[in-house]
Amino acid sequence: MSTHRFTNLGTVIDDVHALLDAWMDEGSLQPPLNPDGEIVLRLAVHEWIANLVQHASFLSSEPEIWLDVQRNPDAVTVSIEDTSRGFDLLGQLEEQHELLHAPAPSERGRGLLMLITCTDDLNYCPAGENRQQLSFTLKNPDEAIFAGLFYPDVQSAASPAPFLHEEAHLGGDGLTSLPLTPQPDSR
Amino acid sequence: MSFTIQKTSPSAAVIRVGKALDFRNAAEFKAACQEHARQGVRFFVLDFSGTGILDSTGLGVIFSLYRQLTPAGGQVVFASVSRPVQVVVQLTRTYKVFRQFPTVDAAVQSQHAAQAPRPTGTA
Repeated sequence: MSTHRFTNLGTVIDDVHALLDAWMDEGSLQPPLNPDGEIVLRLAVHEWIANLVQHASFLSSEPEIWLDVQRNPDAVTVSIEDTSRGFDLLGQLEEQHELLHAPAPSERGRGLLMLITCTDDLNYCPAGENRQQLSFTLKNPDEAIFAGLFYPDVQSAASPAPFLHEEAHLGGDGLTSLPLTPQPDSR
Repeated sequence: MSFTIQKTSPSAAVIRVGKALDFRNAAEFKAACQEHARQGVRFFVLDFSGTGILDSTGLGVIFSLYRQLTPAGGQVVFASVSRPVQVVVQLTRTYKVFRQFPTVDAAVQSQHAAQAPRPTGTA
């Protein structure tokens, strides 16, 4: 599958979903993905591009986003590059972790955590001047993913939210091993 | 990509979520639900049949509705949950917060059963 370029932030979500629809209709992602894997891929890609659309600071009047998905024997490798200034991904993830321990379910702050839970080897780094790249691998979801949301290495709060009182353990690298390069906060 | 809201009683409404509930229509969804809550709706059934996308922002406004309703004894329940939404529900453990029903009718019936007057004991 070739790299696809998107330049219209107003339609990029619809355009990406149309592309994913086409791949899924063709069976281009099976193998290695099964139907649930395709759903998780769509969710992960959507969450990141939604993050870019809502929060990224694009210096150029013509923002660019590239999506590349490569099939491997048991996973897909996804790369999403963009021409934004970048942002502090680790800081945002830490903020979302804090929100999880609010006394009542928070309205915001789940997108990046959902992304990291669905994926392995998540990496966010510069890919050139004024160019950022998010990359990750994604396998078919199993029970470990479904059981492991949001608590890769977080201590139990003294008074956790009533609906999130079970600790779980995320497989893969988890939050602390993200090889992130600090970026200017674009928000 | 629009949702529809239909009241089934003065205190209950069914929201057909449609193809997507995400950052693009979440604010509109939230405003509409808040308006119905102000009008007295306390029981919301979210019909997810055919929903292909529920993202973190969409989930967030559902939690916002939950926070608004629960102090007043209200409920938000899910019905006809599509597979993409089920994946999100499992990932986020949302099933711990929101009851799920196989159909909208089952969800609406559960509210009727909850509101039915209890039979009094015999002497």
